[in-house]
Amino acid sequence: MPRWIQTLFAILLGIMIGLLYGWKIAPVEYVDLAPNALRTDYRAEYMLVVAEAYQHNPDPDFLLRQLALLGNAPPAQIIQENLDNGEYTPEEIEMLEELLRKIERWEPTLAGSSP
Amino acid sequence: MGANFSGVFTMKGIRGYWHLLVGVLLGIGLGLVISWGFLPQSITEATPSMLQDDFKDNYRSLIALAYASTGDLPRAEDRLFSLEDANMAQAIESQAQRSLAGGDSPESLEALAVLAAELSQVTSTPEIIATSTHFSTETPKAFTPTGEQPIATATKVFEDDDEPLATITPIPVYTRTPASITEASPTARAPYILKTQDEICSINLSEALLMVFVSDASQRAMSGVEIIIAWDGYEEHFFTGLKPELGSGYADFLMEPNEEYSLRLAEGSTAASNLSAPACEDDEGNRYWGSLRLKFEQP
Repeated sequence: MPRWIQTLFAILLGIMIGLLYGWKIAPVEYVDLAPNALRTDYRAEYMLVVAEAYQHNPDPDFLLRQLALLGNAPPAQIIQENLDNGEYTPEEIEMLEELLRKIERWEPTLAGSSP
Repeated sequence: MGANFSGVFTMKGIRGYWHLLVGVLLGIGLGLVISWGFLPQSITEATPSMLQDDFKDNYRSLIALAYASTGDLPRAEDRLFSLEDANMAQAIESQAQRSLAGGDSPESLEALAVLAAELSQVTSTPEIIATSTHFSTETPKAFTPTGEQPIATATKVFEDDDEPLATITPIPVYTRTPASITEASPTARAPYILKTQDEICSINLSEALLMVFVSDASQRAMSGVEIIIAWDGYEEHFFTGLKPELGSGYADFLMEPNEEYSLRLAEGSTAASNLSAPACEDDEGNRYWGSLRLKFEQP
């Protein structure tokens, strides 16, 4: 086998070892993250905490500020995503759906608007 | 085969495989650059403990508000546990004090105060309570007549060998009937009355503190009670329970000398007015400003 092909295989083997190490054995550790980077289950729990906190402090601005920390999507979409992905009890689902209905009432209707 | 294998370990053989070794090392380097630099693992797998400090504070406030809504303490503890603080109660307490100094919303502050008091009750033991403590506390400083914002000052309350506040001895305490009591603005009910008002002259208290203790009819300390203090056109709100080491029904306020204050509980109480730091004198005749201690209780 030509020497350059052997070298190429060696490089490919090395890349595989490097990727294995960098992704699985010693992946990059993140710190100082924002809530939108949370794992799905933690995001769902965060969403629930926001909803429960809103029951005590029913201030729409407060709610929208907290939802904005979970991503750039519209607030209703953020709630819906968490409803789809989270494992909630029926009472919690009811509370989130009520919140979703409120948010949808607040949000301006974009349908039908034209540039 | 045997001849080939032994040939690998001769100098000539090793030189013959250097290109493989260099290739593998080069590949590992490239792999690490890709996996750590260009294509790092997705960051959507973060846990709450990886949040930035201010986001952690925000999450704690939310947890406290959620607890105020549901009253589910185990769930609040589980949520706080995910932040991996070394001491949950202390983290909440510290944040409550930061919120107090930072002027956060009253709802959030009250919720934090209540949760801090609940957590400290869960985690404290009689042995810990009985132990002599040495700590620093943050106390909101009163507005100056020129209208400066209150600043949080570190107030060393006790020395190592001092006893906890509630049992300070010997302190010259001049108990008097609160002559300056007036009724608060009319409310549907006035659940708290000013039980005692004491002047405290103690060189152990380096600042003129207005110390407030609030308890219910069964003398159980009440945390999260909002206190309204007013002076010279200014008004400040603070809460019991932000210094659970002094009792969940305790709160204090740093008085300015020669300033007169009036104080009442937001939930409704008798009001105490004409409150000012008493002038005290130590054994050597040196004058200093003393503190006031007010005890509110439900009848």
